[in-house]
Amino acid sequence: MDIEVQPSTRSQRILAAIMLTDAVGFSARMSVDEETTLYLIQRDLKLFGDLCGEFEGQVLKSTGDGLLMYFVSAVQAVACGLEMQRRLREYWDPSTDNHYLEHRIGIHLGDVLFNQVDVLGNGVNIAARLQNHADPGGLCISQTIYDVVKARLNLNATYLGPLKLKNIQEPVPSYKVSLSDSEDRTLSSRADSLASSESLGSTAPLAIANPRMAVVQTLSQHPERQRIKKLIFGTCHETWENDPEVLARFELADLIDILMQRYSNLEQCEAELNRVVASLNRKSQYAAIAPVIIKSLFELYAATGEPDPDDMVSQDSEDATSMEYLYQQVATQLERASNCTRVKKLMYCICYGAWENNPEALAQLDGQDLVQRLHRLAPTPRDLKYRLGQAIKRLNRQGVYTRVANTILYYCRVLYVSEHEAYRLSTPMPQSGELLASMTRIEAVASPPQVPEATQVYSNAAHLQRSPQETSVISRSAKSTPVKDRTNLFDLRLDIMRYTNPLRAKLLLYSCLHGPFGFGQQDWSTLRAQTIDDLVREVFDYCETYDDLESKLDIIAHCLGENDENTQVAGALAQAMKPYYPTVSIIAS
Amino acid sequence: MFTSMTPDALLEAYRAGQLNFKGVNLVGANLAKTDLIGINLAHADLANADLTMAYLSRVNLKRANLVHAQLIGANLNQAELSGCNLNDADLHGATLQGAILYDADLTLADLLDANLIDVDLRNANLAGANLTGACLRGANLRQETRSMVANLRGAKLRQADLQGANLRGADLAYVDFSGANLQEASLREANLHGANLKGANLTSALLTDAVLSAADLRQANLTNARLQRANLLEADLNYACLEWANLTEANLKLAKLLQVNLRHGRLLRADLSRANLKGTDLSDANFTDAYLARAKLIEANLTNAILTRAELSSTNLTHANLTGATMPDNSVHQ
Repeated sequence: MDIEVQPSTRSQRILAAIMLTDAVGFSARMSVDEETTLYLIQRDLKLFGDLCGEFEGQVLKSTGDGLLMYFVSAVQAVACGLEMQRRLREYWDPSTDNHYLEHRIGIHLGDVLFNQVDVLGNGVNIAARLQNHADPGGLCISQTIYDVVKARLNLNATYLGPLKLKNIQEPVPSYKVSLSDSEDRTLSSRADSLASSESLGSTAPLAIANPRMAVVQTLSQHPERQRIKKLIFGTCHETWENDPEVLARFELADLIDILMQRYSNLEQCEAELNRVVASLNRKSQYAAIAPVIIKSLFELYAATGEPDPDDMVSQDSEDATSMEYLYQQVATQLERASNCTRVKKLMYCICYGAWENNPEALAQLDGQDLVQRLHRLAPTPRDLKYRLGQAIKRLNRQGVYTRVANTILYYCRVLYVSEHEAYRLSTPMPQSGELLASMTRIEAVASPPQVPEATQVYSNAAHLQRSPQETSVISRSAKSTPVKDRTNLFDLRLDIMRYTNPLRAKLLLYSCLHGPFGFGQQDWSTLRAQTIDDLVREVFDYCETYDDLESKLDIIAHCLGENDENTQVAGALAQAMKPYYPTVSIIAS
Repeated sequence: MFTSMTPDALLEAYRAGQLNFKGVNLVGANLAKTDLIGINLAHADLANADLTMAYLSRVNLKRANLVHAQLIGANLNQAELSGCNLNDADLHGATLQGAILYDADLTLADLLDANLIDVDLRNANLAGANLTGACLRGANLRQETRSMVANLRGAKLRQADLQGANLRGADLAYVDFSGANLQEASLREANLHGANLKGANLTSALLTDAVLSAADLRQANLTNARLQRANLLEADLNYACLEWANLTEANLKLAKLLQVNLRHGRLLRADLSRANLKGTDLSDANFTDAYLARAKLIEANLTNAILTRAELSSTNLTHANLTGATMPDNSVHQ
């Protein structure tokens, strides 16, 4: 069962630190010495990819001469960016000056919109624009990122002021970050210290203030890291997972958080790890793994004695009461669902590891308690999805229970909203409609649960958590030029044809809707089934605002390669389609 | 003449500055995405050649053979293609703005979403061609020889943009023009029998003496269209807009005119016998000397309509609104 498929929502959003790299003067270098430049870019991009993994990021795609990545932690993103630049300097050899490419890196915190094949979003756009403002060999980060990381990292940052970025409405206050001067001076002696910087320790150039990060880093660089992750995963989720793809979907940091939250002291945690090891076939191998984990966690348990005010995962008592209220809300909603008995059965199955068919026993269960247990077992939506998926795998009526699982996921989403709160201060809350699309959902056979009241409750919850000063009112300004009528698109098509290649326009529009065009036989016949008009109409429906349209076209143009050509096409399309969008002004209230 | 050439040899010579490759044989050559701007390939044989996304602006392909060639997304702006054989060629999304296609054979060619703005298509044969979504603004489709009967016979023209095109006398029977733009187009004396014009934009189109019998004109916009003497026998005009349209002496026998907007329409001497005009807005319309025998005007709005000398025998006027209408005897209905 492929639980990633989401035909109805088509895409999902997550809030993440987005990084984009770009090689300086790549085209020029290519035209001079194609072979060397290609070798260099491949080497550098491989390095970036590897480092991205080490810093718990994920590579989303290659732009040819750069990588688009995302990190769930802003600190990790900036640390990774600096490490990339640092490592690049090690490649520099004064004797062969041209054996070196310089890269610019831009980082921004924002919504990333995924569909199955691609990634879009204004956040990606901003990261791409920021990258242009970085010095070769340096970083450019938005204020949003800077505020999050400044307490944790020693940055050599220069404030650039609010940057007016192309196609971005609001100016973006930004910082230029470079490697510190001392590191510049020690450039020649880098080789000596290479070994020490690679084995992460106190000599590492990055001051890792957060012990959790240190533990994660130590464990993820351990030679037995895969087994470590398996064992931690097994302890967290009480199932043994051998599929590396499934494991890769879970961040080690999150798994450690689960352990820390569930077991209040090291002894409990150790006992649990040992219990899991004892249940395995390869006891001897994992018996050696458990102490490694315990040793790392020791520091972490010691550190949690004194609460870290900066810790993003810390929850205070105020949260606890509001969580209780949420549990009750979710439970009430779930009890009203048409398939509420099955909902309870599935939740019971996950919470207690057993299947309960007795209706009386089910009726006696406290819904709120079930929700709370479920949330404790699955502290992130991803965990919940995984657990639901695992539970369904063992059932006969998978189709029916996939729908049930969707219902649970749908209602439980409010429980996870607060996890974004850490970012909330610096990033405006997306519209509730966008949030709806952002959550993961199991979608094998099922249609989404269609319960209008739920949407209502959900948007209310989202609204409550939005602080008033961020609430923006979108209004159509009265004195704007009249919006052109979308029922007659002949003039629009004329403009498209006049200013760009019709086929390229089609490919871009198609890719905007369905992800990058594949150039396979099937892709061509799908493309032939639709005219430019048909595609334009769909894109109008898909992109609600002009900014949305412009951003999506811009990103997809970069993703399609042949940048110059496709950027031109994207520009022409945006220009042609612009008069058909109302002029929207955002008034902060 | 007719020297064979490999694509590589051609490209090499072209890059070296040679432009004249008249009459070369490049049958089946793979020239996809190549840059051959301004090249002279007149009389060349490029049958089955792959020219996908090629840059061919201002090329000379006069009398060249491009049968079954792949020209998907190719740039042929201002190209000279007169007398060229493009039979069954694939020009999906190609751009041919300002190109000369005089006397070209485009039968069965695929011109889906192609840019044909300002193209010279005089005497060109487009029979069976797929022009769905193509833009033909400013294109010249005039036929100079009377023997060329139907250069668009059997063509597919859904959503095609033919604003202002001259299609006088063309045989367009059963052609699919649904959703097409025919605003201000000249379709005088054209044969559009059984044509699909559903939702087409025919604002101010010239359709005098045209044959539109059994044509599908549902939801079409015929505002201000000239339809004098047009044959609309059994045509389906339900929900169409015919405001200010001129239907003088038109044949609308058995036509379907349900819920049509015919305000200010001119229907002098028009034959509307047995036509169905239920719920149609005919306010301020002129039916002088019109023949409305057995026509259904149930719930029609005839406010201020002129029905002078109109034949209303067995006309069904149940619930029709005749306020202010001038009746056949010249009396004004109260």
